[in-house]
Amino acid sequence: MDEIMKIKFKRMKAYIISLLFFLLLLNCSGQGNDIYRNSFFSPGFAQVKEGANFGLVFNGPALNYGMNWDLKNDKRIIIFGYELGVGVLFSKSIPALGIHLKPAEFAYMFRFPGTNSRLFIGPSLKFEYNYYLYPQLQSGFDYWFTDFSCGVNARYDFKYKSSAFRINANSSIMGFISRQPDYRDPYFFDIGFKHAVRHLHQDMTFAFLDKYNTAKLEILWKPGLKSRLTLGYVFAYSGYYQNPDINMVSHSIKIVINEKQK
Amino acid sequence: MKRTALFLLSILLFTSCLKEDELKKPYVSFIPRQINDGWEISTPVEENIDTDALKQIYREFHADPEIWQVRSLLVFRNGKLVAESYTKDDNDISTPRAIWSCTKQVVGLLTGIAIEKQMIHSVNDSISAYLTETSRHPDKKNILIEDLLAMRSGISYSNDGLAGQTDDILRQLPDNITDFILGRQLQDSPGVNAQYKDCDPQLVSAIIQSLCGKTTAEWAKEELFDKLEIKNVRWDNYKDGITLGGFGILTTPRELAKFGQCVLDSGEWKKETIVSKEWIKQMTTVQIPDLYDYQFCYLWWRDKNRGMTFMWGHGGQYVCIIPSKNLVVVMTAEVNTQDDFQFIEGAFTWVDRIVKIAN
Repeated sequence: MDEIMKIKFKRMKAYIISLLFFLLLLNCSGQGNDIYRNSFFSPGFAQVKEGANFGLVFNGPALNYGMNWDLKNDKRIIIFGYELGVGVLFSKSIPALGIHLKPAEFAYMFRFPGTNSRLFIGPSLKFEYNYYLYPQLQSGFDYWFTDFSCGVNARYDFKYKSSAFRINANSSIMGFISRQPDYRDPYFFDIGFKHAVRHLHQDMTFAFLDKYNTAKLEILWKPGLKSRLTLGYVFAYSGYYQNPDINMVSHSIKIVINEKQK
Repeated sequence: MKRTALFLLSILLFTSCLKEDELKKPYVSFIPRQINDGWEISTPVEENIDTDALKQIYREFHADPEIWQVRSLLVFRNGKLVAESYTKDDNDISTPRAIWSCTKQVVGLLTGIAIEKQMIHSVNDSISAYLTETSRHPDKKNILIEDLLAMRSGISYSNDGLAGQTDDILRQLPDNITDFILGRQLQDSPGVNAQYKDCDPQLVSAIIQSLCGKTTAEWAKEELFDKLEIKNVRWDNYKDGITLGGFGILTTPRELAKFGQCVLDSGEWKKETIVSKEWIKQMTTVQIPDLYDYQFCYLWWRDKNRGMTFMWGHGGQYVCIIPSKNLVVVMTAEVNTQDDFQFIEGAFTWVDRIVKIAN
């Protein structure tokens, strides 16, 4: 790692630690906070176009599961969540296995100026792993895209008749990313659990929007204000634009089970 | 409100889908480029091949979506390059790619050179005369070099799947590749049953390396590659320094064809004998009458029905030699595909069509 990268890495580490510490402090001093917990399933349709795959697009079903905690008061919202998912995708009947892990995601959003504003906006931090295997096409090799990203998160809540709606949007701005190398030995390989863990963090480099982006848009509908069920549509995108490039898109239905309100 | 939301959602759905790229380039031309690699270039007319029919074959080879994996098709007749086209990347003309098991056939040629140079006394020699490792594995002392060439060592070994031993080798798990192979159990007496496997030619490479005082790859460069004017080639060693024998070579379709032309010309390249005529004959004599619907010789393949000798590598790498037409056809494909996704089914129909139009 060269000197510039070392400095960038130190700086990013400092940002991450400060943000986590800040969130922790806010949480500890959070008198008057309401805590909302929910868990969700997102069955959907995912697509992956991996640069190493000759232009093939793998399509297929994917299922995500996750949990979110919202600490909310009049002025701000703190979100913590995690998500894991799996997808079985196909291209020309060639199968691929995709694993998506987001062990932690944080966001701190403050109310947009205006006392009655329904828009909350603020910084976010997430750790995300995308891991793919193409056993019948790229036998022996694993493929990944890892991002530890700082970005921006926005939430807009509104009511329509007796229903509540929420629009959530998130986009990365900068972060550390890891991607498999452009060239790999065509004969020898290493693949296995310990290699996968190592690979997912291999050659982390600092990058801005010009090199990659991960973004998500959620539109959620809660039929009644006290309903425990929320339904929604989620569009997610991840892209890395240098060799080997990758584009991942998913459309899914989000089924949220809200914690029983006291 | 509902309508607007639905409209916006529909737009998002329709505009945010990924589109597959064109997997092969459209056909442009089969006229070979002159790159001074030792091949004399000719035309279908001069070599008595129906030009229009050949053009049609190339057009379909580029357009057929069923064979999306293919990368190249080259036709050589009378020792000259008549037609070539690369379906994905024109740089394939000089970019070495893995040829997988076509490496076995190169090991077959090297064995002949080693015999000619009296490094190997005879194919009937026991491997114990050459591999000192057999002292640690005495049950393998009865394996003959011929058994290795005809895949009849009897060693329990599998090329396939995660449980297969080739997988261990590709991950470079064993420290010593020769010991690893010789340490496997014998499932049959040597020389009895044939089973296609990477370990047998690997032992042949180890034997050659034990005799030539350098790696098999370095020796091959001096004795075979340089003489065949093969420059665009890489041959990998295992981590213990032994050159891989069941796979391991990377080269280009043009270079690959030189092995085929040499066999077609009974061991000669541009009138110079590289491998003895006798060995070429012995090497291409059928040893196993039925292996994956074809016949197997000393590490070379035969298709009796087509009167064809061929090299065959994983994924769909082929060098087809048709002596009756003085023809060599090379086809290459993506290298890491598995099972039914390899370029196998129907691959030889392309050769059949070329044979048919070669008058």
